[in-house]
Amino acid sequence: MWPIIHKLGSPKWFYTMSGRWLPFLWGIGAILITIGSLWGLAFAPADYQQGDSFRILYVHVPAAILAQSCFAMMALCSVIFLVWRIKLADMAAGAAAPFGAAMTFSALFSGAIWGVPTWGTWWVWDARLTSMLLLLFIYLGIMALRGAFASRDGGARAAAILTLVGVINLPIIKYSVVWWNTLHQGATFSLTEKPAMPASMWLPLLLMVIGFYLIFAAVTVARTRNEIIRRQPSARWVRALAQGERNGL
Amino acid sequence: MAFDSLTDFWAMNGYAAYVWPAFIVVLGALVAFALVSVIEQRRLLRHVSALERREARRPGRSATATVEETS
Repeated sequence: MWPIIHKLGSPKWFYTMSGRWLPFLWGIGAILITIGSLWGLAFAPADYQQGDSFRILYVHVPAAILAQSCFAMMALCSVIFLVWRIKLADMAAGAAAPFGAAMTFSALFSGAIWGVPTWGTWWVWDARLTSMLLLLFIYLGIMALRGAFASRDGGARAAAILTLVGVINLPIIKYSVVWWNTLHQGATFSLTEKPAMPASMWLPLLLMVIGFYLIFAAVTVARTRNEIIRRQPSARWVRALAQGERNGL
Repeated sequence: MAFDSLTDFWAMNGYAAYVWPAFIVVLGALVAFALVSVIEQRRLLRHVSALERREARRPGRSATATVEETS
């Protein structure tokens, strides 16, 4: 067990391994999102109530799912960092935070736009919308807190603890449409039930969600790799890497 | 295609002002993250090379400085 954790936590090993996977994450993610967007925008049938405004769903739902999955991933990394002191986990959590914040903003923004033609308002202070706004503030708080410490380790620990406190918000977001009366509709996808939409509507959405997950993985891995270089530019293998890059270009 | 013509598609049957901004902002965020992380990697590796060259001119001083401190 310990040798495996040690190996997984080694920045050099991570950098080498992830370098092989990264092009596929970018490539397949981009392809799925391109197909999903074209399909969702041009070929999926219009909704019988909402007309073509429903097509916002194809960016709104993946953004909202990723906003929460990204936070769950950061929470997992925070536990690994706090318990086993593996710095790579902290680097990954730090690398993911801005992307999670961007996805939370994306979900709020696309939802607000969608609300105008369908609800007649761009904002209501209901449980789902408010808990998502809170998630955005928690993301921004984590990012600010990390930078507010003089020592890197202090910032990392504070960010990890705030992340674990913020996890309480995740079930609140998920069940907000069940626990409270709300304008927001229930879940679009469920692992246990058949979708309420025809396949021509939910298949492009599925492609978009998988594509967003792949791009999230690619962004997080790429930003973690950058952080590794930033933290140890004097390491011999990093030097060799820079040299290889220079000769390659 | 779910639209009768390309004009209808661009107009989203009257919902163009809602659908297109939502797509541009959300997909634009993904593209921005991809571009920034790739540009950042190049910049960092150039920094490492510069650091190495600077050390080669001043032998004996081993640099433990990070990129943030030297940039």
